Amino acid sequence: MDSYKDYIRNFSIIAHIDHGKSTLADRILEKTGVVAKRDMKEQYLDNMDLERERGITIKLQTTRLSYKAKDGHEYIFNLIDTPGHVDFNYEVSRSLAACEGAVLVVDSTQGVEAQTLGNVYLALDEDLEILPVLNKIDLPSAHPEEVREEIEDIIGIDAEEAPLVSAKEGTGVDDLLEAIVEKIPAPTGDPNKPLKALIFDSYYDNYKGVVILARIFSGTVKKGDTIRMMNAGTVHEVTEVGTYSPGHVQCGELRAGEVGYICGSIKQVRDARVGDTITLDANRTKEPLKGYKKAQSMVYCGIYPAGTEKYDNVKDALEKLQVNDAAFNFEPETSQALGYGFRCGFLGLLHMEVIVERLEREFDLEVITTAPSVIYKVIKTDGTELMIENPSNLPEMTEIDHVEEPVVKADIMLPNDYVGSIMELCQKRRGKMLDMEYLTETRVCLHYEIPLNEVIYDFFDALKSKTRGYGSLDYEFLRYEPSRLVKLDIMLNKEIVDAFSMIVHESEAYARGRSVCEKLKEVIPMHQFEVPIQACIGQKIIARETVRAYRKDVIAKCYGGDISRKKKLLEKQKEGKKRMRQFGSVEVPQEAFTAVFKYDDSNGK
Amino acid sequence: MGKTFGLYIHIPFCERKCKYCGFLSFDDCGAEDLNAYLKALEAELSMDSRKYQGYTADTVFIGGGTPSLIAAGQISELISIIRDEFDIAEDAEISIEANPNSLTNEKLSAYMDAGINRISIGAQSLDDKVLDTLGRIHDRKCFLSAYNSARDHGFSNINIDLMSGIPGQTMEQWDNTVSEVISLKPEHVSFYSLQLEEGTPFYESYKNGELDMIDTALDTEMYHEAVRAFKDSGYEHYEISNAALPGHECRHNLKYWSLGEYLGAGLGASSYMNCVRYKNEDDIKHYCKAVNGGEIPVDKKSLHNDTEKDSMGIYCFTALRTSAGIDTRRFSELFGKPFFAAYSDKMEAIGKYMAEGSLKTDGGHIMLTENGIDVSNDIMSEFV
Repeated sequence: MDSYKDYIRNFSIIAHIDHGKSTLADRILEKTGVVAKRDMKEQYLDNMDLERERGITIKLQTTRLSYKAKDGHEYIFNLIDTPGHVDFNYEVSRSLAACEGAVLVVDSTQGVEAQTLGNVYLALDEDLEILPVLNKIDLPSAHPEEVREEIEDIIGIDAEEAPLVSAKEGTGVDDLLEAIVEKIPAPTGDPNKPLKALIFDSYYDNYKGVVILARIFSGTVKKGDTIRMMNAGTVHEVTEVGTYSPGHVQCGELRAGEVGYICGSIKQVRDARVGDTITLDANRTKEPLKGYKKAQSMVYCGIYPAGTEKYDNVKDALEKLQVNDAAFNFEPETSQALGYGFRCGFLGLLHMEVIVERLEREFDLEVITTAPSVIYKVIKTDGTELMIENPSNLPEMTEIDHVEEPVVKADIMLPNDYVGSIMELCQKRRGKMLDMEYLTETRVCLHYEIPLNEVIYDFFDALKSKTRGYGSLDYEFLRYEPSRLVKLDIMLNKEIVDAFSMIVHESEAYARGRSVCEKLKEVIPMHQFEVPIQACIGQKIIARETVRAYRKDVIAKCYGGDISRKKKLLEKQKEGKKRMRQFGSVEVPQEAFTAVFKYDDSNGK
Repeated sequence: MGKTFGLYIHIPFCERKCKYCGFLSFDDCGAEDLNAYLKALEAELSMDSRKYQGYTADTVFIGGGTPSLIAAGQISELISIIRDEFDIAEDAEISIEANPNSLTNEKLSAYMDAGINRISIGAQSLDDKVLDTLGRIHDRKCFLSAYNSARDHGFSNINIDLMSGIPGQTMEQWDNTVSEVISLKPEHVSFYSLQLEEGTPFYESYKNGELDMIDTALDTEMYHEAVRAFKDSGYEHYEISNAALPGHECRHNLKYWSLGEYLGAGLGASSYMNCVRYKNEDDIKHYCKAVNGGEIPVDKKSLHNDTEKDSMGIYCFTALRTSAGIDTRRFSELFGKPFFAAYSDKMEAIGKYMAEGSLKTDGGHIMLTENGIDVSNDIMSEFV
């Protein structure tokens, strides 16, 4: 007998950045009539401006589609989109866990990349049926046959029948939709058993409060039920259930095999963490679903109000972001240089950039961010352990027995030609090569152990630059390891600016000190007096640069009454001043805080 | 008499461009170009005068470029056109800028006959080495002779332009130039510190490391030294870079610093009339095309209608260039509210500048101190 479940397909699309995932999703939406072509902004699912601009998907969007297949039946497709960045691996894995299959989009001009592989492994871990698709076949540089072989060689799945698609032009999308019906299994699960549902996303809605996106594995959930989060241990009353297609559409209940949203009286996203299992409080399932873990911050930085920005405005904005992002956390801190601000924790560098950009764009705030840092484990001479998120909090060297730093396992996939320069890069970043794997004749995967601290500064930029964009990186936390680390301080006009302090490996302290001094020299404007910039370890000065003094343009001829020009000049000066931070008598532009940590080809690294 | 304004006329031609000069001027034009330009200028003046009826020009300033480059007859013609088109006040200050090497006796006579009563001579330095560095076309002797000729022709209001902070220039050279200028007793002196302007040979040389700018401390010292010398000799340091014997302040320039109205005619000239600021086209082809098509050659992108807030800011920062500073009483008259009410949010900053000795007050005026001049842009930027 037919079950409603036979006509449901739950799947994700996985792909490397730029391989065309979002464009393909758009075409599917269009073909299934969800979004009229004329109403479409480009890449419908990426609904944050930032995502659209960067061409990456950060936050999951799930959509229920209806597709009339060639067999005459109407199918429900639950398209669970996944974020496309290494920072969000855990979210990806939970999204995948909600599916039976995954459409693997591979750019037929580029081939398989490290991150594609990372996500495929995640999908295989969840026992998903993988449906490969070769995209961008409209481009002259497409070589689908080779890429097909590559998929078979590297990933080890059959790609013989992989549809050839041009998401941009819409060709091959019909074949893909049929393949989804045929290849991806229908969900299973008994709607009459106790409720067991997986939270794979949650977000904050101004009207509904926290909205949970969930996959029901067994049982049924409806309005009025009292649900329990099995890991968090909290209990909430369900106020609404429905599907997103797109836009919230209420329905009576969600049954086993279905995907939809659940609202309850939930105030914070952290009360509905991704990966948690929902059950009914009165009729609990025995075991929660496997794989739950709390998102852990890997990278920290300080965020401070810039210029005349108010502390409370920044605090309000951070709170709002936190409500919507369980992986982001913050607490107040103070800096001698920057005053009152916040120490913020992120999943990774991209996550950090996203939050900072959202502060600036969505909340129109001006903030200064300090150098990103990992968490160091400090073992003091008295045996106590400290976790240090802010380099300036490092205890006196005399109190420290030793310091440990986080080390990650990094998989770097790249064309053969660049292996030498990337090995050199990894070597310089204290990487230990574990293995080099030839995926094909021309593609290599390097496996390294690298201290995370080396990865977060500018590793990714350097990798991209040295491989002309072809290299890709995936990493995961491995362990804490003792290391010879020192605190590098920067002094401006003989005074330490705590916001510039960083922890570096002893062997790199000199090079880093020099490079930071040089970069600061470029970004700090000339003053009326000479400004020495010094890098030091403890009392010892290891690098020095000087910003030359200059005379401001004050006695210049204001010619022929061109006061508008003078006014513009003054406005520029004023704008510049607003973006400056006064340290003693030295003004530092806010770009300085990030500029010094950016990758620069010329710095010889 | 109704409303008054200052009329500025731009002559964008030079015999040779100086190495530091970033102003709008050409040194590769023939007589034909020059004639064509003067014709276009004439057409513009006629359109301007129709637009601004009921105005009286109480100052006229012919600047450049090198206005003394054009022939005596052409200047007479130009002044006569101006007099035909505009109502020129009886006691109007009528200035012309001149380069020593083109200021001939014939031209001086023509100027005098036309009613020009103020000559501004671009000396820059009285030291031949320094003049050579600048790429000036004249030497010391040429300047002295031009200055004396101007006096001989009866000009009783002469300005000398000077420049300090020139690469290779020593304090001694600057001192000598300043004292020699003082001994000539010009009614007015303008003294500027050399600025590197993009697109000039100096700028390129500096960028390529072939030119060393002089030490900042020395540059500052030169400026203050000149201020002291002029003051000691009876000059009033009435504006950041101008000093004059009492009663000889440049009335045209003062309009710029006091929200006075002025109309600029000619290529790239700036105007401020009826609270609107604009510039003329600075591309000579566009300029001529507009004028010949019967249009005032305004660069549309530059048009800006000043709001009251704009005007307040501009009044404050321009007034700070003058020794009288911001006149809080005049401020209230102009804007209908007290200065301290309009800028209540700036009180802290103003107080800070006073405390550090950059600003001072005197009888309802707020002005820069001599030290404050060194950071004047910083202070002025508070008001924009």
